[in-house]
Amino acid sequence: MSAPSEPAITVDHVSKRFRRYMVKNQSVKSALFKRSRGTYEENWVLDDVSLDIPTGSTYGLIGSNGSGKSTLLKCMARILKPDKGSITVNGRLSALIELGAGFHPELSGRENVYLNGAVLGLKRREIDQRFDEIVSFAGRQVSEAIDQPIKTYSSGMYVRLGFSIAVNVEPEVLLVDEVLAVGDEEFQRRCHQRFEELSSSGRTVVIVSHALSTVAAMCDQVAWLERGKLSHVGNPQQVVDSYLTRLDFGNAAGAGGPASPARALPDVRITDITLDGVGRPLDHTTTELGEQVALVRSGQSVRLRMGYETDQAVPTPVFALAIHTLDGTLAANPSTLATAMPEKVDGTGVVELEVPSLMLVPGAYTLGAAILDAGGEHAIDKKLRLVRFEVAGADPGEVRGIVALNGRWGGSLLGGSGSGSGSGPGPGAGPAR
Amino acid sequence: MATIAEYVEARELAKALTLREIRGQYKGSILGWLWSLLNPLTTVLVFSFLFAVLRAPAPVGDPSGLKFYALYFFTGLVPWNFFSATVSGSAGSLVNQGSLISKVYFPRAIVVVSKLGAVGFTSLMEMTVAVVLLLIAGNMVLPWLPVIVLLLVLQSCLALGIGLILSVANVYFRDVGHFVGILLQMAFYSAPIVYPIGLVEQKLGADRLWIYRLNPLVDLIEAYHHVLDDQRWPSFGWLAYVAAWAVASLGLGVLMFNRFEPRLAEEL
Ligand SMILES: Nc1ncnc2c1ncn2[C@@H]1O[C@H](COP(=O)(O)OP(=O)(O)OP(=O)(O)O)[C@@H](O)[C@H]1O
Ligand SMILES: [Mg+2]
Repeated sequence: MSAPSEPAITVDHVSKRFRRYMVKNQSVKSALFKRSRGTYEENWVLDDVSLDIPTGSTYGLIGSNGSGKSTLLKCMARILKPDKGSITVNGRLSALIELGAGFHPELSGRENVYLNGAVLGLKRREIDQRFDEIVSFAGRQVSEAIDQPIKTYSSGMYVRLGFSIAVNVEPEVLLVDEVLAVGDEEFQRRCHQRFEELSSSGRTVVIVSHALSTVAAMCDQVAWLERGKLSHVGNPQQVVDSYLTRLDFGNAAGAGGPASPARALPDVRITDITLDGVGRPLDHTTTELGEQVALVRSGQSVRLRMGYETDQAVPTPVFALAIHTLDGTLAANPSTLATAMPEKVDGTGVVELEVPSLMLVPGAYTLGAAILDAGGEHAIDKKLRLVRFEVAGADPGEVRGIVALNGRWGGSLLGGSGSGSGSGPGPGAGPAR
Repeated sequence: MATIAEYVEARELAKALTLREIRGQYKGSILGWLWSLLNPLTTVLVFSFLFAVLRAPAPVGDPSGLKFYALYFFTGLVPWNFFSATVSGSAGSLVNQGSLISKVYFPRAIVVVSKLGAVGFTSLMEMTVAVVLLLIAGNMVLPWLPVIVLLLVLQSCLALGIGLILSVANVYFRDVGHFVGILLQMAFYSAPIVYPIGLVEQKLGADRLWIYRLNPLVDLIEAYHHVLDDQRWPSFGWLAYVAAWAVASLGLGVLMFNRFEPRLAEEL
């Protein structure tokens, strides 16, 4: 094993491009006549990625579909060769790019264990030693069918056996792509346990997954890849949170963004969204990623503001604001649907909502806005989850749920006969004002 | 490009893949590898029957220690099958193992080598049967076994080199596989398997026979006939010529394979 200070994997300015064929000539005839193997464009799937993965850590890789996670993993596993840069791996590596790679359907489970072990670099004797453990880890169904051909296995059993082999060969570096979600509840629990055992015995585990909460809980560090570039690296919860925030923003931006350039600009557009304190300015807090976000005390009075602009005068639409929790639950959605407004809007302007008491429990939230047509049915412009902010609690006894009632406890135990009246304006969570 | 050390490291995998080929081939069939014998035996029977019906004299070569055409045919067919199955099997091997190649790293030539190994296993079975039949027919071939092994090694190099080239070519152009089938069929009749070399000599004349022998398969097969049928030494000059082909083919194969190996996983 390598010295503890040395990273298990060093990714040094790695770039990788793929050829994407417009017309792929895979027959000799077309190649001869057209003198090429088809027209293709080259796209950089990894663009100057540099990473150090510390020995003994559990490392997560997240990012949207097609962002290059699997490609990076395959480069680490030497399945693909980077076009630029280099990757150094210290220690024996085993990659679980897909479960049961190299299983042969006609052979029995037993024969396949030996074959798969050899594929992962084990000597026959080493597999002999681990055989019982592998089979028992895979579970009862598998051990009963170990001498049956693999093709008779259920897909879950197939997955269990493949996974069991990969984690039981005890690699010094284990790469896992998208397998946390497979297998039933009980098996998943055992997988996590095994990951922990591996990392506590100094093995390095690199996990690619879309199961963000699991990644946040299991990993020591998380890297976020976006279109082949490294976007953030660092504390798991922080990276996952800002990934979620950006993800939603990215989707909403598609409405008027570069994704659909042909589409006409809406008549009314949201220009910006802000959040301010009423009376005194809001505090700020810095996330570990270096982002400055507003910090609101639960129950503090705030002003939410959206700016708009129009190209010409249009009939007055409905303005709405939306507060989401990070896991996507809509916490509040006030709108001007029932508010008297002038006939038309023109030019630029702002719409404000003054909230006397922001009744949210401590946590991270996002603020977004939408402009809807006069009936409030169709969105003209929408920018959801654009501004992230945090809420700090006044009462440590009230941290779960979404709404903070900010009440006062009373009753005989507490001496008073208090009527626990909150400081908020009551249940008026509908259209405000 | 994989290093020699990596290939040494991966010998366990080569063994496992070869065994998988062999086992997978006959799994679930009662006769198992007997099927692989039945195939050449049927061909031999068909051709013998044909000659019997045509009342043609059995062309067993001259001079020849053999009287049976079927046996003459068989001693040529066994090495031919080894060659042709290796070449056609290798051609498709990388594509067939695509799922493995795109998910695990190992020196890729292992796939082609294990194909050679699996086909070689079957061919050894067939060769054993041929030797037994020859012994029954009264040909004492046992002292010549080392020469046969040498011929098999020579032939393996030739087939492996061609296999390496075709396997990569087939990744880029999938119809290489089909093309190989047709070429092999032509190659089959280009070598003295169905007919003895004397037949060509009659038609072509002894002084122009060398044109025919430029095809390295001719003297490869002829060498087997010499050793197995007649227990005499093959022509060393021409055998050296075949060896040169084998070395060239292997060299070119390794060169080309190494050149394309790094991009295999993404092209598959
Ligand atoms: N062999 C290939 N040839 C051409 N393009 C490829 C090849 N493999 C991947 N790509 C492209 O590379 C990009 C990144 O793919 P990759 O599999 O790394 O994404 P990912 O981050 O793993 O996505 P997912 O979350 O869906 O698994 C995609 O645009 C994909 O189309
Ligand atoms: Mg992927």
